[in-house]
Amino acid sequence: MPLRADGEVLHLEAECGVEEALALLEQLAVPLPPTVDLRACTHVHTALVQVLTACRPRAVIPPDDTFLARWLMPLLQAPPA
Amino acid sequence: MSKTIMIVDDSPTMLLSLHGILSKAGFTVEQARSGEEAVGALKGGLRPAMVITDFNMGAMNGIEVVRQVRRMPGLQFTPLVLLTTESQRDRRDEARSAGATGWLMKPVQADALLQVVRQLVPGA
Amino acid sequence: MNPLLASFVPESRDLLQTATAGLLRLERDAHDGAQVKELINEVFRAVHTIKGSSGLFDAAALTRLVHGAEDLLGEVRAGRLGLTSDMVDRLLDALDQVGVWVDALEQHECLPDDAEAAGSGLVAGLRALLPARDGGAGGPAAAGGGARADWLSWLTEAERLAVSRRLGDGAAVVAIRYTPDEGCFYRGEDPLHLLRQLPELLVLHIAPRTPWPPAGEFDPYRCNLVFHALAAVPHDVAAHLFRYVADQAEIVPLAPDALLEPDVADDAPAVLLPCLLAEQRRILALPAEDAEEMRRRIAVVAGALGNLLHGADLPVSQAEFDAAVSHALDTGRAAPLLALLDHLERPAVAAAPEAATRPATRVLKVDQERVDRLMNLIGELVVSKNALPFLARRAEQVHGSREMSREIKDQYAVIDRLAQEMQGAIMQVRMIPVSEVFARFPRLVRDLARKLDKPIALVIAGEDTAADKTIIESLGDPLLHIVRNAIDHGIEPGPQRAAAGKPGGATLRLSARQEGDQVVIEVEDDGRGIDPVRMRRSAVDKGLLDAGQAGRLSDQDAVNLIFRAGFSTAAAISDLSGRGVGMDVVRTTIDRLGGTIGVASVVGRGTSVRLSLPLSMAITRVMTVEAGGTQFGIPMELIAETVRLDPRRVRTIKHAQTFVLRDEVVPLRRLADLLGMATPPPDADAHHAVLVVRVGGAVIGLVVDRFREGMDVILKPMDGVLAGLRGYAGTALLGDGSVLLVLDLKELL
Repeated sequence: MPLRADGEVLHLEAECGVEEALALLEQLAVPLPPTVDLRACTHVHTALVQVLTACRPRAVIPPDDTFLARWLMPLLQAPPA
Repeated sequence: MSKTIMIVDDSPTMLLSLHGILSKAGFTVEQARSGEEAVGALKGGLRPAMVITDFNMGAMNGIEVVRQVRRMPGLQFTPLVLLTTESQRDRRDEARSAGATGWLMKPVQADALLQVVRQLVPGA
Repeated sequence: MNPLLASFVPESRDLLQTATAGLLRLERDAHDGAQVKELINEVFRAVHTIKGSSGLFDAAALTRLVHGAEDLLGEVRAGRLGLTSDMVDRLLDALDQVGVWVDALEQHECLPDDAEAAGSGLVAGLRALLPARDGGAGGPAAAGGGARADWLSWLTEAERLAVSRRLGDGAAVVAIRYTPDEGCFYRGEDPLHLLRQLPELLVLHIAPRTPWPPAGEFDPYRCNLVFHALAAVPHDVAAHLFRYVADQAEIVPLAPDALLEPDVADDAPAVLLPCLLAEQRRILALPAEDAEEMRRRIAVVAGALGNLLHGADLPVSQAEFDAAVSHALDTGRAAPLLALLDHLERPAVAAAPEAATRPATRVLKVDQERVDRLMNLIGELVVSKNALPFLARRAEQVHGSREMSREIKDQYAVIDRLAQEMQGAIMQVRMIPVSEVFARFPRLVRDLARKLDKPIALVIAGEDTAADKTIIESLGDPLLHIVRNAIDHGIEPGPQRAAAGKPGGATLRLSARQEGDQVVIEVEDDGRGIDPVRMRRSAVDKGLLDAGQAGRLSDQDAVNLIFRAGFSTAAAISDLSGRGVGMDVVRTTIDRLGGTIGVASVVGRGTSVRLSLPLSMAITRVMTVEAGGTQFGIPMELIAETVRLDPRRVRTIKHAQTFVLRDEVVPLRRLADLLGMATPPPDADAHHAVLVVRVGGAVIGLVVDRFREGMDVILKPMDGVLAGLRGYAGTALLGDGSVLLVLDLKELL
C-alpha cells in the first residue's frame, strides 16, 4: 500500500497513484491532520499534490527523491495564500 | 512487479510486433484482436497500466474503445493511446475529447513506443 | 523466416483480396449510397492496414505505393472525389504490384531491386488523380527568437541568476506555462509526471489557479494547478514532450537577454472598442424618414461591425452576425443590431471593475452532438439514481435495517436534487428562442399579403420565449401551415372587410409565452372566423358525418372538425395552404411533440389557434400503478389526482360506471379491462384505487389495483413488432432492471 497510517504519521511510499487521492483526502481532511512522511515516496500523482496543497498537513517529512524534494516541497511549505 | 500493457489491433502482424517490443522491455502484455474483445476483457476486471489501441478497426474503432474504457471504474485515469497514421491527424482532437491520452504514429518504432510508455506510465 | 513477416504475408494477401473484390463491386454493381459507403470503407481499411504493417519491414517502396492508394481512397471516402473507372484501373494495378512484392518478400525477405522504379511510376499515376492541394498550410510559425514570457518577473534572484548563467553558456532555454485543463486526469494525464521528464529543469513553480474550495467541495480529480517552468532544452524537444497537451502548454524559447527587459502592456484595442460600439448605437438611434433610410443606416452599422468582427476577438460568431443583419434589413428595424450591440458591450462592462481577478465571460460554441451526449449521460444517471429507492426497500425488507434504508433514502434525495439541477442546466443549454422560427414570418406574410392583395399587419410578441431546440425546430412546419391557413381562409379580401365595417388592414398576431412548464404559441387573426354551421354542412357533404351526428355537435366541436383527417385537405386545397397538408397533420405533429392544439373562433371576429408544447422533452415523469398484477407507467402530466373510492359511491348510469367528484360526474373505467386483461372480479367491499386523469379535456377515473411510486424515466418508443401496438407510449428501463410499459391514455381511451 502506498498509503500507510502509523499513529500520527501518514507514510506515502513508492509510487502514489491517482487512485489514492480520495483515501489521502480522507486522512487529511480532519481537524488534526497527521504528519505526512514522503521519505520513501518516489512519485506522487498530480491529484495527490492537489490534496496535499489544499489540506496542508501539519508537517511534511521531505522525500528522498530529488525531483520531489526540490520542486514539490516549496509548495507544501509555503505559507497559506 | 512488471506493469501490464494492453494492446488492441485487428492486424495480427501489428500485435506481434508490439508484443515483441513491449515484452522485451519487461512489460506483461495483454492482447485483443478487436475493440469488442478489449472492452470485454476490461469489463472482466483486467486493469492494465496502459492501453494502446489501433484507430481503424472493424465494428468498433479506437475512439469508441477509448470512450467506453474511460467510463469503466478503475480505468478513468489510465493512459490510453491510439495508433494512428498520418491521414488520421485531423481526428486527434476527437480522440482527445473522447478521453485519449495521446497517439502514436504507425509504423511504430520500438524506441518511440517505449518513450511514450515511459512518458505516460509512472515507474515504467 | 522472420515471424513478423510470416504473419504479414498471409494477412496482406487476404487484405489485397478484400480490397480487389471491393473495388470491382464498387464499379460493377453498387448504386445504393449506404452500400457504396460501406464498400469504400472496407477497401480503405484493407489498404490502410497493409500500409500500417508494411512499415515494419524493409519495404519502403511497398509502403509508399499503398500510401498513395490510401490517399486516393481517403478522398473518395470523404466524398471529395467520385470513383471513376480510370481510378479503379490504377488502384487495381497498384494492388497487383503489391501482390507481386508480397510474393517476393515471402521468398527473399526483401523487395526486388527494381521496386523503387516500378513503384514510383504507379505512385505518380495515383497522385495525378488527387485534387490539387492549396499550399501554404506549412508547419507552425517559427517562434520568434526574442519571444518573452510575461511571468518571468516573479523569478527569485537566485533563479534569475541560474537561468542567466545557462543562457550565457549558450544553452537553449524554454519557458513553459502549463495549465492542464480541469478534466486532464480523466484522459490519463499526470502533469507532474510529464514535467519530471524535462531534462535539466531550472525552475518549476506549482500553484493553484483558484483558491482551494472548502474541504466539502474540494474535488482532487479536478485539476486546479498551473505550472511555470524553465528548462535548458531545445524548443523542439520540449514541444515533442508536450505534444499531447499542446493546447494546454505555452512553450516559448527564451532570448539570451530575456531576463533584462521590462514588461510593456498593450491594451489599446480594449480601450477603443467601447467607443466604437457606442458610436454604432448612436447611428442606429437617429430618427429615420422612412424604412429605406433606416435600411441604409443598418447597412452602414453592419459594415462597421463586420470590420470589428474581423479585427477583434468578439463573442459573436459570423453566423450570428449575419443572421442579425439580414433580420434587421428584412424588417427595416434596428432591434436585431441593438441586441447584438447589447451582447457585445456586456462582457466589456462586466469585466472592467474586476478585470484583475476574474476573466471575462466567454461564450462557447458547442456541437449539438456533445450536448446530446451529455443529455443521454444525464438520462442514464437519472435512471441509475432510481435504483436507490429499490435498494432502500431491500435494506429494510430483506436485511431488516431500517436505519440503512433511511440513510439510502437521504442520499437518494441529495442525488435526486443534483441530478435535477444538472438536468435543468443541460436543458438550459438546449434552449433556443422561438424567434428562430418566428423570423421567417415577416417575409412570408408580406409576400402572401401582396399576392392575395390583402393588406396585413403582422404583430410578433414574446419572441424571446425559449424552449428546447427539438421543439422549436419541429414547430416550423405546423406554424407555417397555420399562418397560411389564416391568411388564405381566415382573412377576408378588402371589400368584404369594408362591407363588414372592419378596418381594411387585417392584423395577424403571432405570440409566444411561457405558462408553467409549457410554451404557448398563438396565431390570431381578425378575419371571418370559422362558421360552425358551414362546418357541419361541409362534414356531411364530405361523408364524414351523417346529418344526425352533425346536428348533435356543439358549436366548438363543429369548429374542431378542422382537425379531422380528410376534412381540411379537401376543403383547403389552393396554391397557398393546399399541398395536401391538413390541420390533422398539424395536430399529429403537435401530438408527437407532447403538445396540444386548440382552436377558438368567433364568426365575423376572427380565429385563434393555440399550441401548447412542453418546454423540453427527453425525461418523462410517470406514476406507476398496478393493474391485473402488472406494473404500468402513466405520464404524470395527465394525472389530476388519486382517489380512494368507497364502492358504494359508484353509480351506474346507462351501463356505465361513474362516480361524483366534487359535483362532477366522472366516468369510471377499469384499467385492466381497457388493456384486455383477464382479472378476478374486484373485492366488493374494498375501496377502489382510482387515478383521475385528464385526457383531451375529458376527466376519467381509472380503477387500478394499487398506486406505486412516481419516477422519472426516459421514454423509449416501442420499436420492431411492438411499434404497431396501440395504447402504449413506449417503454422505460427501471432501476431494478425490469421494463416498464408506459401507457398512451389518449389512444387507450
